[in-house]
Amino acid sequence: MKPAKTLATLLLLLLVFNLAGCYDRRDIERRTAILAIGIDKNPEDEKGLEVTAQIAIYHNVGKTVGGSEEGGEGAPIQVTTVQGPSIGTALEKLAGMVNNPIFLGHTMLLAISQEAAAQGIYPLLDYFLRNNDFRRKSWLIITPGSAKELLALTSPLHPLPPFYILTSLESLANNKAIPIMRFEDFIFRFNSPSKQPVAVMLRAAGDKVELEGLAAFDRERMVGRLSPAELRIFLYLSQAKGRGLINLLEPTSGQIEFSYEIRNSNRRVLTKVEEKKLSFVIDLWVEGNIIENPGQVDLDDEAIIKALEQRLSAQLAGECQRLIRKIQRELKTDILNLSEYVRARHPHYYKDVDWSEEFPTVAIKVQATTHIRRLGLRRK
Amino acid sequence: MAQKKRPIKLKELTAQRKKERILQNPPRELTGDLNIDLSLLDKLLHRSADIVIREFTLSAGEGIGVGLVYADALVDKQVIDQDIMQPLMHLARLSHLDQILTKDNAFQYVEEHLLTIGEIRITNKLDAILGGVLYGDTAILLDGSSFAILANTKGWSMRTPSEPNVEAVVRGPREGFTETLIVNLGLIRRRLKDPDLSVEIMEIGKRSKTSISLLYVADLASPELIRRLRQRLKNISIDGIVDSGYIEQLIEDSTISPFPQILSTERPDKVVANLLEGRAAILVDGTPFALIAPAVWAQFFHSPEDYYERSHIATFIRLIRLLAMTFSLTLPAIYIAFTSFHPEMLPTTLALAIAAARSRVPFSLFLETLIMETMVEVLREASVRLPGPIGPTIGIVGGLVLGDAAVGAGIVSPLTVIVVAITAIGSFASPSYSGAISFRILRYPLMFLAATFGFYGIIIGLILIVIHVASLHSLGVPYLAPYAPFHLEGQKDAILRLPWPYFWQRPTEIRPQDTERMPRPRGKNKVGGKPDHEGQ
Amino acid sequence: MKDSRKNQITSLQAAAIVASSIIGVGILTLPREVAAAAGTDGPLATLLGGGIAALLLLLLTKLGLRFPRHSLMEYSNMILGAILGRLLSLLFLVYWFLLTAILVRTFGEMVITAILPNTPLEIIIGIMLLLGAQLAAQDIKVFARIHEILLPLTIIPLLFLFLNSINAINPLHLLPILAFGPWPLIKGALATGLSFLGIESVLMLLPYYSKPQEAVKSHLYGILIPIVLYFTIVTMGLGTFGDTALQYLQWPALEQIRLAALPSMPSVFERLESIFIGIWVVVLFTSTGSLYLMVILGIRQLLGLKQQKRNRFYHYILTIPLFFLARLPQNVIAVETYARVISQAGIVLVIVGPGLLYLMALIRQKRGEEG
Repeated sequence: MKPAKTLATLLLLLLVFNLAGCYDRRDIERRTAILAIGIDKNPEDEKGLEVTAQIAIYHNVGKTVGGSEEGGEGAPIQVTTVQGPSIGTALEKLAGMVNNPIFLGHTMLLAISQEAAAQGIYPLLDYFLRNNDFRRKSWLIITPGSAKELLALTSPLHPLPPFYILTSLESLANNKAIPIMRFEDFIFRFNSPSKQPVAVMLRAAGDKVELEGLAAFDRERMVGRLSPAELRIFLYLSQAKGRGLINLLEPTSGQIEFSYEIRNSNRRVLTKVEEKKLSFVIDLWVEGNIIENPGQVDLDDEAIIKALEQRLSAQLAGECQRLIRKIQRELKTDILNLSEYVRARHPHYYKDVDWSEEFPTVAIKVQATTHIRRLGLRRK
Repeated sequence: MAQKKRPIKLKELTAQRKKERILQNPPRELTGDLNIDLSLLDKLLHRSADIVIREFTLSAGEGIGVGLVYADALVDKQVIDQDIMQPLMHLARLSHLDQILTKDNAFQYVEEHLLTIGEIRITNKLDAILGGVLYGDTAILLDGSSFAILANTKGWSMRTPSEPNVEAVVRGPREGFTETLIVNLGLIRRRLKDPDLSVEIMEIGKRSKTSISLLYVADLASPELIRRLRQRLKNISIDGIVDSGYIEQLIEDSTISPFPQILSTERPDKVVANLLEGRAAILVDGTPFALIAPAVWAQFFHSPEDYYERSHIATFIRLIRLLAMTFSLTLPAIYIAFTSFHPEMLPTTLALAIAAARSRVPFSLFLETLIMETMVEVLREASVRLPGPIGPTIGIVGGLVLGDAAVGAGIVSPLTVIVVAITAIGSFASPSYSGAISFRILRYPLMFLAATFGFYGIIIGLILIVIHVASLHSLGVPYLAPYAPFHLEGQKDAILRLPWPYFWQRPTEIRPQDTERMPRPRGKNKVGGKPDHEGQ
Repeated sequence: MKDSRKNQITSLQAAAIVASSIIGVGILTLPREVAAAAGTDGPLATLLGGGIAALLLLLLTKLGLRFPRHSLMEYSNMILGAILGRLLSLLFLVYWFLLTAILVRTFGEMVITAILPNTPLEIIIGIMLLLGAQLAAQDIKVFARIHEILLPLTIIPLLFLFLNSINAINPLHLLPILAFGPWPLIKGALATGLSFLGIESVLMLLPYYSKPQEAVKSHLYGILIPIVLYFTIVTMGLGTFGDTALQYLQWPALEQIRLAALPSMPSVFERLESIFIGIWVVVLFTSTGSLYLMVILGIRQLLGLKQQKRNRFYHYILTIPLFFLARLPQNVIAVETYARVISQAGIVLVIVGPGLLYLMALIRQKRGEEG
């Protein structure tokens, strides 16, 4: 009577389950979903934090997602700010203010103010790292103003404010205008000794967000910022296959001669150790199209195109060199992850030197090759 | 009482010996000795009960013996009575043929003057005779003649076999079994004119005395299987058998299991296909459902149509069915687990939509799903019981109106209705009603488990189901064959359905005596010969 | 009684049992352990460890094939004599017993951390033990069939889930290879050794094979599956995280799955870890069931009990001591420490025990009767 026993076991288990109760059952609408979290320094308390949360109001969300006919007229989210010495205590305080337990499983955005990040970002992240619900694919962004301000922003472009920011970020990332730097990516860079973390910076401007550039970190401390223009160059130099515009100026008048759009970029990092001295050559290769030609440069000749390519290459290499100088001299943090190459290719050298001291002085040379592929619908 | 033992006459003894010798080693042609020939035919037809052998004496002449052999189910008895029996027994005498007929000329005379049947054939080949008899002809044998007359007496009267309504197919025969055993036997015989198709009739039920026939192809089905099946049938001791369901439950290996271990069908083509694979079928008088044993789990999502359609579409449809059956088993449980335990698994927009829709629903998600599932079962039951045209109407009215009203009233969330509807539709996609039932039942424990432990609970439930199913056997054949024990050749007709030329081998898990149904393809000389089977 | 053992496990099932007995907790923690020991040599170290395990499995098979109708508990008596033989058997039994407990506990820890934070540990552990007992209570051939059917249902999705994150791999993370000599490689291979425990199940199951002559082949196929799986997991983990970041993760494999969304349908399943945990429950169930069966068979043969078909109640009684044993460690770190100690002892036992037996059998020219 084996099946009898199986069935009896099944029934017994069922009974046990029902007597034991359902410890973790909590229907989705009985959880307070926090869609975005902002972290600022507490203006009143030097050591304290100010945590801002965007809480979904389900019966008002109805109309904004899924095409449900129901849904109230009120705002779909509520922005609540709490203060506390740590993330955990602040969220605990928040939990006391809402009617259901806090649920971080759908948090899409973690915004941290520059001020707070400059003091050290790791203490702000550890809570989320240990939390099982918090999703690793949330975006981590740094804002120069206050995170509270960023989260309070509402845009007519999307009924749900956190989705407006999220979709903006994703669209930028799809266009290769920003690196994909989500929570997980940040943490892995942070935890790898041969890498340095970076984070995208966004600024609230009225009812819009504006790309502010890239925050550069030295381990957990934010040490500086790349402007949006520098961010483009950074993308060419990292593995992100970045895209972007280069304007070539007429040498005499300073007018824009023509604009070249990089559609695809790639780079190779060559390393060399000579006499215990390390040097890098970054071999940059880009291809793209001419998208605007206000200077009416004659394009109808292969030789001219070649010459233009050379000018573009020189300009690109110069801009890269400038950015690298800024990173080496000013930021002094290896956000290009060059040490990863040293670790992989020269393990003994890497073991022997202290890379963070070596980095600002190491020789880095950029070579650029540019290809003009297409001219658009005009011949000249 | 004490009868004196009469010494057997030498002549009788030699005749007996001769008969035995011939029966031992059947020739290919008639011998001319009526007694021996009839015995021979009887033996070749495995003494099947639907074969009638009639012996009588020609009414004229020197007492010439006549033998009629026909298949009861396939002949028009009126033709036999009026056009064969009457002339031979009656008209012969009236025609004053006494002086003319001798053993030597009787055959010719009967053929030329007495039989009032249009189409006759004369043959001395046993094969031809058997073929004719199994196709509704009547074989007329005369003593002293080594030829037989095959008279066309085809004509079977039966309830017009209507289209099977439980197992409908798009392409394939439209005939279904009826309630008459002999008609059903005819439906099978007509499709399988193999003299080796053996029909054993037995009576089960002390009061009902229901005729039950055990069908198998004698040189295909494993003798062990038939012995076991026969034994189990014989062991049944009950007052009455009303439907084949009785037999199914009385002979299956595990009656407590929710999974049926014997296939039931109302399609003769399905029975024939299974007989040809070496399985056995049980037909019960009074019910249009035949039983097929041994059955494996894979068969419960196979439809006979799969074998008639092109293989690509058949494979695709099998996958769809599997998906539908998985849905009908697990979807409500997964829904509960995702929304009540792991909402982080859902895409954010979907999660928000569900939460928004549920924000006004008074019941917990589990209770809501449970109520809706039960309501669907109630609706289904009601629409089956209601007479003819009202049934489907109630289904639609109940489903649409109630569901819509419930959503409108805010008692139920729309997604629950969708989930429950998909589940219900999924359970209809199974070609076997009894196979679908097991999943319908097991859905509830899974829902309870999901409501207690979320995804972990579902996995626990599925593990228990796998343990249980793996421990099942159908007449000694592992229920999960050909998946476990795995058999590569069997995979051609499991989830996949390869084109027919690939099916040169019969399913080996049921151990047919002859494993090949068509010549081995070239280059297939050694593999697939002896599969690695577990011991019994 | 001897005859009832024959023809229970086909060669394919034997391979499946070997594979699913090996694959267990290892897939969760292996990348971290290998990275800690071998750094970027991790993938190679995994292969080396797998190779060593395969050789060891070969030795166990050879030993078993000398006594094709007897299990470890029986031929250790025949080779070493009643007292020493029993002692060795007892050691194995205790090791299996402890391993079952720690396995179930590790499982419970992960379930609580990852999916059911509020459910008492006792319930999760208890259910898993009962499931294992239920599997072990089946006939050997049903047991084999369950392994056979569950193995592809777990391995294929697992490989799929892990290969899914191939886009996230940075080839630089896999370099340098063998930069610091062979020592990290050896250390890494030893670290993987813990994950290959489970091969000793063949010592108990060999007498049930229907074709013992194919045992070597099917065992090698069987161990190939975990080698491939482990190699994939370690390579993917290392390639995604890099060797240092990997060491910060409690369960690297879980983290890896968290990152992977199906690129073709990112919005259908935002996070795949529940599926992974589901599969992992099945994986752990098969290895718990295997270990449980070892314990049951071991006790039965050590005490000389007859195999009783009717009453298998005592199979479930064993869950009680196992349950309390599994509850013993105070926290995650303690669980891991215990697990390490037990499996290191296990490695020694699995190498030394059968090695000794094989040597003695060769010296004393002992051999079991042919099947």
